[in-house]
Amino acid sequence: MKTDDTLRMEPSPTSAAVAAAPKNSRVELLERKGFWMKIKSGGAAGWVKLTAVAADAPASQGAGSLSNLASGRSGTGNIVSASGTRGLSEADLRAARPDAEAVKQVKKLAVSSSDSAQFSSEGRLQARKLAYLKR
Amino acid sequence: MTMVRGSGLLRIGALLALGAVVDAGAQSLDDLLKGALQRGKAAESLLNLPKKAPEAAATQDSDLARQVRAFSPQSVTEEIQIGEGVAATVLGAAPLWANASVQRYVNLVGRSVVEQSERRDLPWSFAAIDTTSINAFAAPGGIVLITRGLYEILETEDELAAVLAHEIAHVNRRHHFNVIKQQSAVDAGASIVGRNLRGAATEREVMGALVSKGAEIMARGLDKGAEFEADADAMVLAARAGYDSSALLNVLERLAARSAQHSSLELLFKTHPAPADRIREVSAVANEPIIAAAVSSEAADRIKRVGP
Repeated sequence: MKTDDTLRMEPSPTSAAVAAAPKNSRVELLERKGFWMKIKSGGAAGWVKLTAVAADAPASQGAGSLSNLASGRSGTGNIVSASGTRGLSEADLRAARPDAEAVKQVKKLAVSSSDSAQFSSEGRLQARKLAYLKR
Repeated sequence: MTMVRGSGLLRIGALLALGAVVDAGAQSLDDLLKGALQRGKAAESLLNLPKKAPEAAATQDSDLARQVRAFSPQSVTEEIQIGEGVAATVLGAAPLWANASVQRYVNLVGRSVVEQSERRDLPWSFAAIDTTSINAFAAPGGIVLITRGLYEILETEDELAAVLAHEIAHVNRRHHFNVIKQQSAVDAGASIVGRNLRGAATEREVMGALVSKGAEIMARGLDKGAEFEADADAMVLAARAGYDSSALLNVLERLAARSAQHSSLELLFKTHPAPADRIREVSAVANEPIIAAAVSSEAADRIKRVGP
């Protein structure tokens, strides 16, 4: 744990407290949901904010690292391209002959604001007002 | 691709002649450029003072909105022209994916994110390119390319929005354009010194040099700070459009779980910070409104209905 924190029943700051997770204690990472992480600390399991554990995660990809946790939906979309296409390397980019014709085609793919407005509304996407984050 | 013409000595000489970005103690061209970038950032934050007081009120009139208003029309035209050249280079390396429904879909998702950004007036277009590599590219001026390899590991529309929002952020913040211009100013210095030998460059030659500089940056990558900034912006832009602010984390986790040695990720990993570092950065900057927006959108599964 990066900080003293409280394990909560649900991934929400108003959810009931389950137990305390003291700073510097070692915990087991179970599941991530949004910016919350379910952890096991001592005998208790519960949710803490991702930032409470994030700084303690190894940068490498050892078991239990943050980056190795499944998002809970893995396995469904991991299609390996079966086509005859190949990769795109740095050398390919450096050796590429510009294709201006393809750029014209890309520009024709552009959609209008009204198209995207209809698309957003069909998907019931609700716009939010949000400021940029301070780093 | 010729990055800098003339000898190193000539370059340093030109810098001194220009008197623009010289650090007395700096040893290499890279140091000089880094110094110039840092000074640029410092100047930017000075110019933006005083900051708007309440964060909530800053929503649509951000520092970025003010910067965008200050962009000259000529510079935007130049940005678009360079971007078309850079996109042509990427498209010369990998063709368009012959899948009309995916092409339309990435444009609709991309445009819906753009609509919530400060530069919605740029001529945005999005396309998927047919390569197994997992990557995405932002050309200055609003052409965004996502590889088929990346598209195919995405599981939700929210994740597609997050990926496109990261690229949109690069364009909005002029990350590539600014580096192209800064490095070209250095080259221009070199050509002033060499002018007697080579004659003045034509407009066409200048544009050609800017484009090849842009393609060079595509191959080499931006600095880490620009990538972290694009990640932070991506969460905001995607969430503004109604998508899950944490979908970027899903994508980064999936990248991290893949071997860094795998050839499909070689270029992405070479040009970006490690996914684990990006995960740490985005979790650290996420504020309460962003955390509250970590909710899967109702459109999440629409990606599964995009045929064939």
